[in-house]
Amino acid sequence: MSATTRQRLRSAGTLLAIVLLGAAVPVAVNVAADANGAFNCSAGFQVDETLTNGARWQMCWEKRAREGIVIHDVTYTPIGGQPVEVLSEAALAQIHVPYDDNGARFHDLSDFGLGGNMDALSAGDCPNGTLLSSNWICQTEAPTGYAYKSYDEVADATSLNLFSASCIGAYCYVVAWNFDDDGTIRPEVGATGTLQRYGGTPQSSWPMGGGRRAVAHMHNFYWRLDFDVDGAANDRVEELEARFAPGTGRQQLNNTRQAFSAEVARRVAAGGFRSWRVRDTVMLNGDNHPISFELLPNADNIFRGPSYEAFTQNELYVTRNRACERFASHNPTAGGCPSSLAGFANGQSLTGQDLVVWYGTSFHHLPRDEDEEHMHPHWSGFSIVPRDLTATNPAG
Amino acid sequence: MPHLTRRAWLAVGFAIAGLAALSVTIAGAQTDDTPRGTDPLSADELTAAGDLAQGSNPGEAAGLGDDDVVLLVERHEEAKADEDEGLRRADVYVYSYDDDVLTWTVVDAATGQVDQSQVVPDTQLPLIQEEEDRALEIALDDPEFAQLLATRYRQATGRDLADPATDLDIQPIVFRSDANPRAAAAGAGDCGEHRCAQLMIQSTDDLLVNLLPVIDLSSGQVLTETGFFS
Repeated sequence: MSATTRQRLRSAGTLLAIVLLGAAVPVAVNVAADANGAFNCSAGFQVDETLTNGARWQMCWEKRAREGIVIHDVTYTPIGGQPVEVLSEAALAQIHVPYDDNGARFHDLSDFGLGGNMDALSAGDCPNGTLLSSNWICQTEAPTGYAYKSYDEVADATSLNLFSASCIGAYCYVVAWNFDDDGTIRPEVGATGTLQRYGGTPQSSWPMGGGRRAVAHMHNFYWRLDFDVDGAANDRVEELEARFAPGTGRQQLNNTRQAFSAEVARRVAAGGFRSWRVRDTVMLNGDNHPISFELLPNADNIFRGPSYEAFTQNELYVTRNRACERFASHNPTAGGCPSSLAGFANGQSLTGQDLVVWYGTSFHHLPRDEDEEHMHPHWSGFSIVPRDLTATNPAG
Repeated sequence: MPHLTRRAWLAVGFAIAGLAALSVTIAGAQTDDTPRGTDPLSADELTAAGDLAQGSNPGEAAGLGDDDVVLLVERHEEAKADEDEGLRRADVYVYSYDDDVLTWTVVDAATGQVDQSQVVPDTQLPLIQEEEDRALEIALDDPEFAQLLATRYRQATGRDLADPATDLDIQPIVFRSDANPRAAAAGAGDCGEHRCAQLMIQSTDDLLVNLLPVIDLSSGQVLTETGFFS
């Protein structure tokens, strides 16, 4: 087969795949914009970006005093497919900063507020991008490398990036939401600015210039993710895990799936391979597989705090959607609402419920000389990846 | 908290509006710029909600008292089932320095209705500008703290502290003793019921002044000059 023939077949195959995928991708009714293209927000708070490869992201955003930027009605349209809702609402839900010497334990999001301390961005903050309403958000499309490479077949990928910046004390947090053209969502927080505390002992700090020491500390980031995969109804959370099969001398792995029927708190599994997916129990892709989005955690970033920080005992929580449950800690307690995640997940049935997933990841910041005068951003985050949303890779 | 006036506190609701990105009238023809759905409250909506909050403190016979503080006004998140109703309600949080009680009220600026109001225990919202100013005033009026601040500033910068207003960048954060129980044992046990502020202090050229003082706004006292260190 000549190279020309191969190329023609590849092109024909790509065209066929796009036609088939058009039929395979589910038709969703709960999307950011209705049939008339009307968003549930006004023009200044809409994001509607068709990326270079043809994939499309739509959503609304809101600035709130404590959470900062809140994303609403996140809708993804694969190449050649139909729009499907992924998240009804998503936001950072706490930044918990305990210092190694126990000299301070900040809850920055609830107690200081990311929205009330958000920096209006300038053009210099947003090269090659667009500043959204009131300059709170920079929106860009940025290359992310290969979409795939298979010998001489290659395609490039891009991502829709939205970020804001909130400065709290000496720190600035860059809160980013990255929406990749393959349907992956990558929430991230970059910690930058300058060091907040000096002092400490050799056990709790690191030597800096001029004979000073800077105190080491944690940044524990928590997100609240109101998944509505193809709408709020018919969602289920499953835990996926691969562990060595007993009796195989660590030569085989068993892959298991566990569905949660009641509110639950779970830990990442450093010794295994554990993730979680939110699947629709009705909507199928072209292969008759349930569509889902999978949360891929950081299994090596774990913090377990003291008894009065019980919310740090787990990384993943699945709860019913309750309007009063907003923050991982220091949550307002109106009407008897629990004060933290530890109280949110209390075993209530998830059957037939609108589900919320909470995820936390930690970063231990051991200061270094390079942190002065200004710190490079350290990024903490995770990924939410489509699993069986489409029957094949829409990009080819 | 006698140094603060009701008028000053009410102004806060409007400052929160970095929220107010769009300023259009609530009434009138809806355009694509008309606030709707998940938009933050507009300046007009914040004003209307703030006016309705006048009657939100159950401890007052009418209106807000001189020691009532509007801490936050922002869009009330409606239940998904109600999203198509077009509601644009506001959450209004009022803290009473008379009795250290936080009240949460849901108001509908479009109808002028107060839909619900309840006390919120064990909850602290971020400080507002007037509280931050007051915390700084209390701290600088304390001779022991002022002397320590000058010493630590000189250690950090090599310069004498001439004027805190121009030499320092101070950011207060609300302080709760339950965030660090050793603070309660060290005399800050009321923080959480009382409004307390912890000051994070830098020079204006980004050099850290290594102090984390805690000020009790309700009692007007400096609880610790240095913070609750090991």
